[in-house]
Amino acid sequence: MAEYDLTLRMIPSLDRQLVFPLLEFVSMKKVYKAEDMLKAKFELLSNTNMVDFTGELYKQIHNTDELPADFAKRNEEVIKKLEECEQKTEHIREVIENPEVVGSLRQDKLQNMKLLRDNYQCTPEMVLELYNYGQLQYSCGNYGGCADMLFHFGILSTDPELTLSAMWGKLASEILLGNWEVAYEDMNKLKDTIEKTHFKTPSEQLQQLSWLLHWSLFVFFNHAKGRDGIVDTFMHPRYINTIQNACPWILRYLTAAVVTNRRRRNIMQDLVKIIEQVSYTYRDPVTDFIEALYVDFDFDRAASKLEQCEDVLERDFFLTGAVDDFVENARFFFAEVYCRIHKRIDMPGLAKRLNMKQEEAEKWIVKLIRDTRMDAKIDFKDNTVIMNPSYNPIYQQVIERTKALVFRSQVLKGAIDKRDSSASKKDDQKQEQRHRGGNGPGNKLQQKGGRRLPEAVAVGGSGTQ
Amino acid sequence: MSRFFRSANLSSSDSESSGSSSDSESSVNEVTQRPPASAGTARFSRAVFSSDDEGDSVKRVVKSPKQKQTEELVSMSRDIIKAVREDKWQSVAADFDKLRASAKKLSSIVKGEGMPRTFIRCLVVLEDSVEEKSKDKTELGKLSTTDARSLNQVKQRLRKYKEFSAQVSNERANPRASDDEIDEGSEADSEEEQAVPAAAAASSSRGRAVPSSSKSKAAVSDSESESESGNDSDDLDDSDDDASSSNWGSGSDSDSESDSGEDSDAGAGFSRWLKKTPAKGEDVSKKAKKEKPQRAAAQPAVAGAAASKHEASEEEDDGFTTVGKRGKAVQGPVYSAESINKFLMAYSTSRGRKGTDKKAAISMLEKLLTFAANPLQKAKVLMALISAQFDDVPAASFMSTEKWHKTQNSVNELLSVLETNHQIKVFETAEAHETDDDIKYKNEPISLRGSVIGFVDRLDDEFTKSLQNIDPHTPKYVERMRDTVPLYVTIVRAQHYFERCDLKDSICRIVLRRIEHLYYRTDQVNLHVEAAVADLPSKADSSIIPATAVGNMEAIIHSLCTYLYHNAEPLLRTRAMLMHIFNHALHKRYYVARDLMLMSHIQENVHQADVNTQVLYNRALAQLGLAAFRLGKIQESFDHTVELESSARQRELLAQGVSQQRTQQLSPSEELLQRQRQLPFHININLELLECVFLTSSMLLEIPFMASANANPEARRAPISRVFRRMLDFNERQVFLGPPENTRDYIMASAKALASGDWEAARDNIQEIKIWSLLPDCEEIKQMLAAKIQIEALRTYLFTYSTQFESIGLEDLSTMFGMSKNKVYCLLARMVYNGELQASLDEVSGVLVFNMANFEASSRLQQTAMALSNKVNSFADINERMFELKINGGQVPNERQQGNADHSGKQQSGERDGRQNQQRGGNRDGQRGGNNAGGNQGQNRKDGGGGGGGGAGGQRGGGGNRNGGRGRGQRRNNNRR
Repeated sequence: MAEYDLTLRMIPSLDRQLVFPLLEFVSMKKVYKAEDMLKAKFELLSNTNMVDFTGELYKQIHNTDELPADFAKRNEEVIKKLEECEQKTEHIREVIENPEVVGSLRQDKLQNMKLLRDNYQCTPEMVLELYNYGQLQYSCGNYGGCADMLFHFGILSTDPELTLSAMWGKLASEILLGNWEVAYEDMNKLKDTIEKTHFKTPSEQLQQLSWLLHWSLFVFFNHAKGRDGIVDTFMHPRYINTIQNACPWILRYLTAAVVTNRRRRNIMQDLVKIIEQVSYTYRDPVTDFIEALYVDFDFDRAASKLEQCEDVLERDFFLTGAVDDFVENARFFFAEVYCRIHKRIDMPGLAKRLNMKQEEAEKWIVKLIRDTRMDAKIDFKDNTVIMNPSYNPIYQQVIERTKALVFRSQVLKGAIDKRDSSASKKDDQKQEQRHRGGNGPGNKLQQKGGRRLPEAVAVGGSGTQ
Repeated sequence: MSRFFRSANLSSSDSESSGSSSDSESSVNEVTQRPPASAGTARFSRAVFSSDDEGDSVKRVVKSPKQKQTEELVSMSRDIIKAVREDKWQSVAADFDKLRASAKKLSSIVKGEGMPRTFIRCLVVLEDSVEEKSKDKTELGKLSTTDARSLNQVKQRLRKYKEFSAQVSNERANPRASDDEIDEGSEADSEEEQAVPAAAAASSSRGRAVPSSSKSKAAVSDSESESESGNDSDDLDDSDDDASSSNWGSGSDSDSESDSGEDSDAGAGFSRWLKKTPAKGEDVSKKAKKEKPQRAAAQPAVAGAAASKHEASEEEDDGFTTVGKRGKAVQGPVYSAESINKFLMAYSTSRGRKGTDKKAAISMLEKLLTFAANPLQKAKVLMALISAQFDDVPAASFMSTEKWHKTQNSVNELLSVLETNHQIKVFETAEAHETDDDIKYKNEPISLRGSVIGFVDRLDDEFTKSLQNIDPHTPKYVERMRDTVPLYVTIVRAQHYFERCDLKDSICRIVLRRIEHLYYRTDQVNLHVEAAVADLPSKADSSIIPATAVGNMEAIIHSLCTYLYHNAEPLLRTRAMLMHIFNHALHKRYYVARDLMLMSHIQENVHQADVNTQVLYNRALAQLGLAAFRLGKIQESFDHTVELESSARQRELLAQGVSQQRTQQLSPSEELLQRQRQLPFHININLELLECVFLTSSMLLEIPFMASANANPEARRAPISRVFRRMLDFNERQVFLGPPENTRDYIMASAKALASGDWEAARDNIQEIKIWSLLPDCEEIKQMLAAKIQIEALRTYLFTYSTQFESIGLEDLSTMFGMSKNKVYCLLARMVYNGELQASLDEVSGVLVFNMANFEASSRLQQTAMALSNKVNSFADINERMFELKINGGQVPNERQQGNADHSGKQQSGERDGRQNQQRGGNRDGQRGGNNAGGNQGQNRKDGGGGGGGGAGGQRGGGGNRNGGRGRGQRRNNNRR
């Protein structure tokens, strides 16, 4: 099952600490060997300052109760550093937490900095300390503190680059804390910032975008509005491009999101196109299912892929909660396509394809027919569903097409009349001003000319068509 | 000396005239003809050469073209004689035509007389052997058919060729001497080392010889000498008598006495001359000084000649050149390691001036090379030598193979010197190093000014040029191609050298050269080539190709290209990328190639690039089309090739020949430019294959489309592939159709079969095409095509006959089109889902049931009603738009354009969106537009010279506009001419 596991591919685009839950999940699902997983976790965390936790892992790996001496040493160091940083930032933290100060802060960052410097003796260096402290806390696993520090830093700092990385840090902390509401907001802010920022090289921008795609998965699949959000965000050409170029595996999540989001059915067409284009670099059962259903119309293959999908989604960190939803909706899409193509459907066959028991399938189909108000009937004698494909007779089509013409023409005529009358009024005024009671005929002539003109143009226009 | 007098003293005056003759070719000829000097020969040759001399001295302007012609004629004649002896009649026939042409030119210059000896002799030999051959039937039988045919050809042409019959019969009278001459000629060919210097010496003496030739002319007639008073002084005139008389003496004496220069008798004569000539020498000293190196070069010639003293001809030459030697013996020191610098200086000052003799310079430098005492000197001499060798290429023509080999050797030698002596660095921006104490050089670090990259570039260019000029269907071409590997080795060595010296600019250029040698070949071939450079000693200096890449061609090319992407300037980068794309596509890595192409956004700005890059772009595109086709991506393949194939100038766009155009003619200079741009034959993309691929994919797309549009006359009007449609129409209009003969015929036949649903015939016709065998995976492709044809035939069938059915059984369809039921089912499902068929499937009884709408759609009245409703709608649209225009009065032109070409608008917005990454979804359009812009505008620019660019630039966008742009461009060109 490791074949379709995306953890390895995702890791490069994620933060060290964000990877941890992924690893935890994967080891729980026993995709890889437990030993390897432990080692991987150890490797992962040994560069952080979460010394205690790393020590635990060390014990597990080596099956001992004793820790090497440098663990204790590092622990001390970390604590010392933390204290140092705390002292350094004490002043500015006090200042910032002062409600008076918060009240006087404005949009303009330079202005704010000046204010702080003049009134509260805060230097830019001190602000920078905030950033460092936040980083340290994050590294120690104290995400709440980190989020605070970085929030303040983001408000005060004037350095766009550091602000950006502070935003990343903040988002990571919020994700790890599980504050999905805040994380959702942070993510959107970050998204705007990245879109606005002009990066030196295209590849840098690409990297930022692909990180954003990966990180946002945490938020989208945990936030209530996430399903809509992910479809809206990822279907934007900018992100589609990123997916195609840098991280095609994200397509699985996009596909899952589209499938589970039945209200946004019309997006399916675009998704099919994208899946088709990316199929040479990336495919997994989820995208294969869509491809089989919408590109090849091979229902048997689609059905077997759907079965595989269940397994794959079970083992996916982000999608594991959406398996049932996905399968249900996938069946729906399946049935929809099936009904659109067929006039008469063999119910046992459909039930088999949908991987359902016949009775269950019958119920399901009835529900489907009722829900979607399809023009279909079930024939119990033959055990078939009979569709009445609604087609538009040509007469109807002609009527529909020409229906609006009268209204449109009237609107047009009204507009022309209105304009003409206003134009003639204006003309009258002008004429009067110019000639002071000048002669009428000239005026009339102009009116005529004014009225004739649009017609002439229209005829010319139709000629060109 | 009067003419009369001269003819009275035939032999002696002859020797005199030739002794002072100035023309190189004549001296070579004379040299041989002189010695035994039977009266007859002498008379004949005198007749030839005296007139030469006259022509020379009276009108010196004529000299150089005449000389050139003569040289050419002589060498051609020799070639023919050689070929005749070897029974290579085919080449004789070809050469003979050329010979006649050049003889005509020469004879118009020299007014019919004085054709070179060798030429006449050649005619004689030809006549003789032709007669001999045609008499002897058994001999004739031995020849190959082509040779026999050529022999007949030559025979007939000879019979008609009577222009020089008088001279020929004359020649027949005394064949012996001529034979000698011919022998000498062939000897000269084989022993270039000697002959070339000798010839060079003779020709180099031209400048010096001016006075002496005028002298001889004076000897011929006083009046003439007076008329040409320029640098002839009176006392010279006086001395002439003496000089010439002593010359006669020497002429006769030298027969017996070997080294006349030092010999008393002749010596007296010469010294006499010399004594008086210093003044003259100073008169012409300017010239003489300039030609110091050549004079010097004359010396080796003397040395060479001295070595073969026993050859009477050479003795004569000696007798002549010693004069030169004597004349300069005072100033011209002997070569030695110490004096190398002086010679080099002299060479570099004279280089590039008019009248300097390049061959002499080469031989001098070659000589110098042997004296070079240390690496520094060697490098210096080599650099001078290489540039001299390159100077010796006629501007309009290309370097001969021998010369090229020599030059390549020199370059290699230079590289070896530089490789073994790391302290010497050569680069363009170095300070000129001019000291005389090179001899004391003790391996300290030093930098020289020079351009190794320039040498290698030029070497490669000359190689390409020669390939352009050789007929690719001859063994000669293949032979020439053998040099690619050594050349590649040289390039790689140069690259290693540059890397060691860290010359960024040069590295980029040489790496590009290297890629140029690799990209168009398949990996197997390339690995073979790469094996040649695997063991180069200089390998350690290179870091561009990582060790892991060795043996993996894709990785090698990738690392080379990546190096350029990171380091090179945009132009080189673009080219490297295009070649990279080409190579990927060649190896069927279509997606990689396509992504590279798309991500580079090159299609947006390729029309601003230079012509060569555009050609490369077109090639990459064509290759991409082939790759897509090999993968069965018909639509993609079509998109890539359609622009190229729709143009009448695909040859020109791919630089694979000059396309014939009925309406316009290229000016000679443009044609020349095109020819220079041309790619050597082995690099070419097979145009027929490309066309075949294009037409096949057109067929697979167009036929079902036509069938589906059957009911809808409007859709019929916008074909997918105009070219294909036109061909099909033409084919249909044919009254009588024979069985298919060529690729096109086969495809047309297949298309017709496909249209009528006969998929087996369609498949057979397509598989019959022979050119598929050029694709590496030909069998697979045929399979793929068969499958595609099945599918498209089924679709076409359904489109065409859907109105005739109420329902069709899946079973029947699957047997009819030989497809599995499941496949048919999928196909039908897709067509139903996409709305292509107004029908639905009945799963239970296994039939496709057509809807009522399907029948309605077939009625003419209903169709017309639909069309009318569409028209009315668009009419209303236009009215509304027009009114809006009235309101926003100012934006009229803008609006209209948007209305006409919202295609282009879409495209632009597509570009905007996909600026950072590629928007693959909506990109096909953009890409096609881009291709088109590249292709067309390139053309326009090319044809319209400077004036075409501006107008063409605005023509991007919708199809109609595109054509307008093209038409306009052509019209403008016609006006211009």
